[in-house]
Amino acid sequence: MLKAEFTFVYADVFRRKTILMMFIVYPYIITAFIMLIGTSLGSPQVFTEKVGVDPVPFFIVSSFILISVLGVVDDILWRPIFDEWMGTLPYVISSPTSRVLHYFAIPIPRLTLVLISGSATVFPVLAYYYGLMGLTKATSVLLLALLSSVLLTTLAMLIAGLVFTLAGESWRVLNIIRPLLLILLGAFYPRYMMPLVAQAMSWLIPSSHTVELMQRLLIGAGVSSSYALMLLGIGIGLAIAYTPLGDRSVRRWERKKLLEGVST
Amino acid sequence: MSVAQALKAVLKAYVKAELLRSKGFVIGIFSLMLWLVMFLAPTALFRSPQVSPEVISAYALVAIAVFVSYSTATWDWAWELRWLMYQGILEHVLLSGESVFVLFAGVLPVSLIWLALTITGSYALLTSLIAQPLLRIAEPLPLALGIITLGVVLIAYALLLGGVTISTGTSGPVIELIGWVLPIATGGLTPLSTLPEAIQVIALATPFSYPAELIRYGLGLSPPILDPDLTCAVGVLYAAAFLCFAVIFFKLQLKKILKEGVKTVAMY
Repeated sequence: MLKAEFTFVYADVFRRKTILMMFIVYPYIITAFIMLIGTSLGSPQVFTEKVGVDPVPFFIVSSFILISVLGVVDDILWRPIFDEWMGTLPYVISSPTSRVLHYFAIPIPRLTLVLISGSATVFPVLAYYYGLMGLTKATSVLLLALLSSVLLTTLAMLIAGLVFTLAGESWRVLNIIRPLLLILLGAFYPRYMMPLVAQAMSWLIPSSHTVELMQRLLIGAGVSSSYALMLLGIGIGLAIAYTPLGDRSVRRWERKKLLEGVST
Repeated sequence: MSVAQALKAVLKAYVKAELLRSKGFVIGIFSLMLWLVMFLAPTALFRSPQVSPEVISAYALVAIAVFVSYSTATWDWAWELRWLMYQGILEHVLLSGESVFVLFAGVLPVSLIWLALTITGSYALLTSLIAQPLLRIAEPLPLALGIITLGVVLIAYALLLGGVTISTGTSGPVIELIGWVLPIATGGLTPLSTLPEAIQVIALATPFSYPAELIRYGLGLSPPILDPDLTCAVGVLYAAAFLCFAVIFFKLQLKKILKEGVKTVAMY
């Protein structure tokens, strides 16, 4: 499965190199976008006082998280729609493969692109701002971003199954869920600064815990190892808890497709 | 079919498809609101207590208005040509002998409604998140010129982008990248005075910077970096010249595809 997924993804990447370019360029563009608007509305010093970190490294990391998570979540959320469009959905549904393994295999090739993206964005910027210490921080960010992306797999399965069962294979509905998920992830607006209701919703997303850990590491105020382990534990625990739900959700949608038939 | 009949048919088709039948219109606006919340919420963390939140909100609203206008030109006008090509409709239009511009007559009112709703939604969003945007007409003439030249420049930009798209089959990510970089690099989002000098020079060399500068000046938010009268004159002349160039370029691309055939396009 992994070999097939790698072939599928990299054939596209080598054919259209703009995809790779997007993974590298987008974090810089989004950072520039927010910095330009932010500095015209106020000053970076105010941001540093409020958040505890310079805005440029903060937003390059946030944008990198966005690209990493989107690269993975999009693959999972959109795959059933692509499969239907390409005509491969009947084969996927009739295959005896474990759905959990199948959906975990989907984002792995993209994770290698995440590594490239991180090396070209987070590493140079953090090294510029923090020197050698920045490289250590960047390594932690990169590893946590990979983990954050993987931890979203089972929740993405649950969402995909639910949306497709209730609303059909609608990419329009996904376009509402994606930004909502990303807001609650807290990458751009730290979740500990969000209103209480939003914080509570954010806690249900496995990766929001690893994202908080990344931000606390970046702030440098120090995060105790017990707190770091707690965040990691909650994130991994939630991802595991969503596994049977995600599996059931996808299978329920597949049963619906078996009853309705696949459109060609 | 007369031009009037063609216009009516196209407009009716778009109104039915986009406004009445499809939920995409509403979902699209809602989705855009969420993306804006995600990118704009952190900018509130830059605000110092000395600056009025109403002024901050007004700056943000102008930035959003300019950004979604670029987005409309990119996706509704330029990308629509690619979509029509993908569906095989463009070839029928070319064969019918009608002008391709007839298609835009149908898209334009729908786009403008979408744009108005998005800006209204952004206004409500900013009011609830930051404060009610402080909008006042300080300089009516520059404001009117700014809005008109923004429309002209965006139509020209859509024709250039659409021309390149139909003749080369440019991919979605490239278009998306241009849609992000252009408003940032040409002072669409922030006053030119807040940008580094090198970017100011680049921005002033393009026709895109003048409308945004005039709109912000007209609303009393910030003076343009050039003399206001000079900004008006250069803005109007540059927009007109840009439109002429874009129309000629677009017609040349249409001739090219009539000779070489329509490009095959991928999904994205």
